[in-house]
Amino acid sequence: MTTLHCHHCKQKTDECPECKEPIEQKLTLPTVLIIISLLLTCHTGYRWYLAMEEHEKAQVLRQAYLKKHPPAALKKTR
Amino acid sequence: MYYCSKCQKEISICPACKQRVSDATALLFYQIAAVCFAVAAVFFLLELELNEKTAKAMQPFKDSAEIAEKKAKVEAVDLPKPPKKVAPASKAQAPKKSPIRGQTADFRTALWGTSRSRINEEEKSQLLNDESAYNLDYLDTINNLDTVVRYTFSSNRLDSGHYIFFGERCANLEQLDQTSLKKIGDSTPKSIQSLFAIFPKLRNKTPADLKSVELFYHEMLTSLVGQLGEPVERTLGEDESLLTIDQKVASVMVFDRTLSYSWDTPKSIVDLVFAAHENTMYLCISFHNRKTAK
Repeated sequence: MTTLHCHHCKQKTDECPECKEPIEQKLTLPTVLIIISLLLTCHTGYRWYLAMEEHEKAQVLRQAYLKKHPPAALKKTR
Repeated sequence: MYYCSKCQKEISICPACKQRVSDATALLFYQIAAVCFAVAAVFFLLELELNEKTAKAMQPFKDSAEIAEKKAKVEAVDLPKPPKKVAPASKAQAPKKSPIRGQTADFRTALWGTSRSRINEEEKSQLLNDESAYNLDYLDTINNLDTVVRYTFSSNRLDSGHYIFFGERCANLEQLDQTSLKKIGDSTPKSIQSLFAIFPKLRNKTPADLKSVELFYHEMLTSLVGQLGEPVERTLGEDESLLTIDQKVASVMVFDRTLSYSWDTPKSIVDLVFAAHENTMYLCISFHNRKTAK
């Protein structure tokens, strides 16, 4: 049963002031929004994770390449 | 949002103090959703940044891959190997770049319309025959095979060029089930048959059985398709894809048939003719001046 809690007068009401029927609470929209945003977060998070893995692989490849073919500036320092 | 299901009204005012009340649970849900959206946006931006960094890290590989691809293209078009180029005397005399084979000329080192005497001077291969008024024949080696390089002239000007490969009489054709073979293409014309008489000694030992002929024919055809794309004309038309290479080669070699393919390029018409005469392979790649080609 839904209860309306007033922060001003600290009173609790659980029925309609006009018809005295129990009041209800609508939470469909925020629930849908939460689900969508969670899914979106998971999706972008996973994509970020894949990009991170890809980036690490690229870095390893690049390091190996630079070891074999050092740029001119690095050659001078060796 | 609080509401009464019976009177279908939203209850947003406290019935006791008449002050505005808000649904704390819904607000909390909205806040959680907003945080999730923000996190998703951060992930998205991080991903973009990482992708950019990855692309930057991979740049040298991309560059080298592009160079390798270009090199491979140049190597792939290296089929008719020209002799060592002599540095042109001046820029005006330098041969123009040909769009056909990545070479610097239309046929070997020559441009269409070059005079016979100039080709005679510039061609470094061994001269086979210069008695005909229309043809100049040289002997060269391509892919370790003896090749007749034939220049054809019209009014003493270079009109077309040919690379002609001959095989040896194909062995073991009797072992084939000839009844199951389908006759394809045209029968070998007299003009090709006469070439066997003109060049009686230029037989290559390598393409002397069906497998090696298949290999050679397939290699030449795919090389040209790689350079020039799909042929615009071919003897078999749409039936080409219905037959396997070994069926085609077996039919040509057993029944002395001819298959031809044609490509159209901005400056030249390129033909590949694969034929057999007395069960001996003949393969000719011809380049014709597009302006004068029939």
